[in-house]
Order: sequence, then C-alpha cells, then structure tokens
Amino acid sequence: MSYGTMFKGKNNNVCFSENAPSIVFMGKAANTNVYGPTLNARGFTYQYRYSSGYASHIFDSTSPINNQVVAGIALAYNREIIGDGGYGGGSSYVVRNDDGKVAKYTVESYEKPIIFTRYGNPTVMGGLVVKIEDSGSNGPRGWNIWNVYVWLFYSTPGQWAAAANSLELYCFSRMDPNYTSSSTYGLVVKDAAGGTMFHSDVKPAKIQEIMQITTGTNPAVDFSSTLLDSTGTVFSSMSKPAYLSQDWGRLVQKVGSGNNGFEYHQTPFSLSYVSGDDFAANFGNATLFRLTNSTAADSFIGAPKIVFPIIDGADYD
Amino acid sequence: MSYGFKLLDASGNTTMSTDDFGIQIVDDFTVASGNSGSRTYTELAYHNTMFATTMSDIPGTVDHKKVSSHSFLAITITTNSSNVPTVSWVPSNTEGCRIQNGGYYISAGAPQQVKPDTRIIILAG
Repeated sequence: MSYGTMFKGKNNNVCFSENAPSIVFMGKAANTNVYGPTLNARGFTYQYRYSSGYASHIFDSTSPINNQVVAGIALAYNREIIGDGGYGGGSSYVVRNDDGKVAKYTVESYEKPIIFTRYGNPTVMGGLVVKIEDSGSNGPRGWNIWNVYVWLFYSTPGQWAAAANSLELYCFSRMDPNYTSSSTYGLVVKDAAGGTMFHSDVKPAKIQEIMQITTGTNPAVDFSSTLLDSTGTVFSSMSKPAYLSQDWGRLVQKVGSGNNGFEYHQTPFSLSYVSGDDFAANFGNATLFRLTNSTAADSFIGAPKIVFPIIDGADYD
Repeated sequence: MSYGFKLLDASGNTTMSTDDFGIQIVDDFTVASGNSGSRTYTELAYHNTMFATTMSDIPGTVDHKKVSSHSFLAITITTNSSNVPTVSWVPSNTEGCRIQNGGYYISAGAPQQVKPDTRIIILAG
C-alpha cells in the first residue's frame, strides 16, 4: 500500500485496513417460533424399489414415515435415502426422510448477514441456514430486518422447538459506511470516499480459527483437516465455538448393493471438535466419523474442500 | 502483550489485537447453482493468507414441497507474481435429494426442484 492505515498481526496477517470494510456484529437472530410443516404433514408419496419390482407408499399423518419398514430397512427420522438407478431400464427412486422442520428467525442487519451457528446440544440437535431474505421492513437502527430460515435436525421426533431454541445464530454484516457516533473516544478508519471502514463502537468479526477439511469419497481414510493453530490451543480455549453455517455435503451409509441396494444419505447434525486438528461429524447420538477413529459412514458426496471459519460466541454475548 | 496493537471496548475487553490471526471477511457474493466463474482482487495484493467458504441460499420462497439438489463447489485460489489473488469456482458434486426419472411424485402437485444458490465468502489477512 502507498498510503492509508493498515495493522498487521503477529502472523503477518492484516487485522484491518481502509481497503476493506469491517465485518461487524449485527446481533443474534431471534427465533420467531414459526416452523414449517413436517414431512408427515406434507402429503409426500414416495416410490421405492425392491428386489422384485417397485412400489409406492404414501407417508402422511396416518402413516408416518418414522418406523416404516421399506424393503427390509427401518426408516428413521432425518435420513435421505437414495436408491441405485438403472433398475428396469432406468427406473429409479428417491426417498427422502426429512422430518426436520424449518425454523424462522429474524435479525436486523445492514446487509444480508453472514451467520455463525453455535450448537447448544450438538450430539442430538443442530441445524443449518438454508435461506436469508429481506423481510421488507426496517428495524430500530434503520437497517433491514432479515428472515433467516434454518433447516433443523433432531434425533428425537417432535423436538423441533427444542432444536431451534438450542441454536444461537451470530449474525455479521459489512460495516455501515454511513455509521456515525457521538463517541468521544475510540478508533475510526475511513476510506478515500469518507465511508466508515472500521469503528471501535461495534465489535468486529473476530475469526479465531479456521478449520480446513479436505474431503474424499471415503470418510474413514480420505479426510484430513488442519487448523491455523495446529496445536489446537486456540480452538480448545474458545468457550462457545460457532461455525459458519454451511451445507457441506452428505455422508452416505450404504445398505445392500447392486440394483437391490439402498443408500442412507445423512446430513450431520454438527461438526464437533475432538482434539488438535481432529474433528467429528455427529448424526443424532452416533458419531458418523472421527478422523481419529473408525467410521460409520461409507462414503461422502460434497465439496472437495471445506473451510470453516470459527468465532467464539462468548465474544458477542 | 509486550508490543503491538490492542483495541479495547468500553468495558476493557479486547475486541482486536495484533496477537490475533487477523483474518477479515473481505467479500461476499452469490452464484447460481451450477455456475462457474472467478474474481480477481487487485486491492488484496497485501494479503498473506486467503480462504474461501460457502453458505447455502435457496432462491424464492421456502416451500416444503420442493426438494433440493445442492451443487457443491470446488474453489481454488491462485496468486500472480504481484500477489494478486484470483478466486475460481466450478461445480463439484451435486447432491441432496435427486430427482430422477420415475423417481417419485408429490401427491399435491408436480414435483418441484429448487437448486440452492451458493454464497461465496472470501476471507483474507
């Protein structure tokens, strides 16, 4: 840079500069207690295939999907099942078992928020942000109110409200360049156009750690992860680690093989820290895989590389 | 800390310090499902570290009678001789709930497919 302000940290990384607007804390999204319908109430009809042909089954309020046995496989909540294609010259089927409701939250934010999720009960409940939309109204600070939709996961049927209430959604946005304050102390950084790039009145998004996961088709042997602090000291010192909410893939547990096979496609409830640069992905009460342990998932479909920025939610409570 | 920079809030809590990793979120944009592309950041030639991550964002109304087919992205970051970074993305695996011929139907109407957009979030420091 030839002019302006820039601070670099001990790792030669830039803490802030006038070249980049700060991403600052907007607040925690509030649960509106508005939930979408469950799968059982949606009137889905699923067609499935088994060894001697295929048939369909209507999962509705009188015949809920939970505890149904299809082709010898007991269906459980929160599972997507995708069968092999090609049977009978191209007939194939999809069964999606997703009792998880979608919950609606709201937050006031200058721009569409970037959201970090803290799981309060990570072994049995979780959720991921699937949509953020402008509600069309403004909040007391003059910024938009955003509707945040979260796809909930829970291992016990009917626990959607508990799952929604177990989540904390930390929302961040670009700094409002028109922000002014009556503060008589602190630090302000402005860009060449006079826009506020940093202001000590508001808390910056302080990325404490970044976990990078390199995936593969076999979670048992192909996955690896790294942390900025490879000792794990920074990670383990956080009291409320919160991850950027993202849909990062599907773990697959295959049952059977060939035309008669079924695959359980599972979305993990949560990503939990184990030690060092190791992590585990949990589904319900079971750990699907741990980098340091055995696996319950046979394969993975998703992004080849996943980056999880991590904040400490306690910094914003 | 014996040297460096530290910013405190009115309660005396450290909100930023040169002891931090100092990673900033520097960009945030949305790409439609299945699209590929790239962005070059000449203003970030100062960067020492850079990452790209994603969030899902379903376009339109959230409708429980829709099923999703998520296109996961493969993202790469390269730098030129002036340390100017370029972020590139291409579709990787597409997964979620797949719609296939003869697969299923929704009793209340024809199947609808929603393909979530992907927000790409760039972090640098």
